[in-house]
Amino acid sequence: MSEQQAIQDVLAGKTSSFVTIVDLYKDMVYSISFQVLGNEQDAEECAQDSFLKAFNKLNSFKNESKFSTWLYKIAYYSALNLKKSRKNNTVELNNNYQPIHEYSDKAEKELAVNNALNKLSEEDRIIVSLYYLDEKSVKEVAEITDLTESNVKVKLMRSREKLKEVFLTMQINS
Amino acid sequence: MEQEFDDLMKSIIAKKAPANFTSKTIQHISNQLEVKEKYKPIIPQGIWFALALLFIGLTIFAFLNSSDTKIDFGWFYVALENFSANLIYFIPLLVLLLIESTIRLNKVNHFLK
Repeated sequence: MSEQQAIQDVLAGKTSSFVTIVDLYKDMVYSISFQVLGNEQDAEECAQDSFLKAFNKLNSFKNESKFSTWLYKIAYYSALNLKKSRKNNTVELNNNYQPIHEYSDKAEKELAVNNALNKLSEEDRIIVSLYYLDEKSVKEVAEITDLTESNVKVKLMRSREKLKEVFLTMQINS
Repeated sequence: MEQEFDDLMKSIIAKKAPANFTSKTIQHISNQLEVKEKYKPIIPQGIWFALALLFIGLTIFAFLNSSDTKIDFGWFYVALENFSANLIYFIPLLVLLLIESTIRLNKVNHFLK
């Protein structure tokens, strides 16, 4: 069943079709939540709430943007709100940080870049995540995060440069 | 090299949703819908809104018609000598409130059992 068909079915009252939407986007929504909240338990709770909100507000989706953009925006703000409500500004992922020189081969390169990613600010990390997750365009990332396109471009460029630097260091070392 | 970097980024960022995520989410939505249905007002919101307006209107009317503040409304004037005489207008409202709260309390009690 296609995404559009599933949306039409849910709006027509066939709520079981929402399974298709959840199946299609669960990994993306979960990944966004995880990047903001930094732990699996909160990310799962947030992803579920995001789908519930999407279900309840589906009739307000006007096809002005992609459904995925609309859904990711819900997920992004749900995660931010949950994080705010928990008043927990420490992202668990940061705890995994280890000095780069401890890594040598390809598998550890991933961990080094991951550490560098976790050192970015929350907003920068989300921009990078959205850009790579579903290969979103700068315009769509701007739409989800409510930033201007030029702002997203600059932040994305800077973040990628930082991450590439770590990646290149690892390339040279290995 | 650029491609290698992009592939690495994708593999780092993409997380797999936990097992049974879909079924848990659908269950979560069903539960919420059930709770929503359980706590749905028995008397529609529109009626409450209309009653609230009527209540405010009658209060103002009763106040203006009380013996202390009587104002001549011309053809619209209704002789109601004091505020207590207007209480009869509020009886239907009170009855509805009683019905709503009784049914809701029963539902809550049932839900808590």
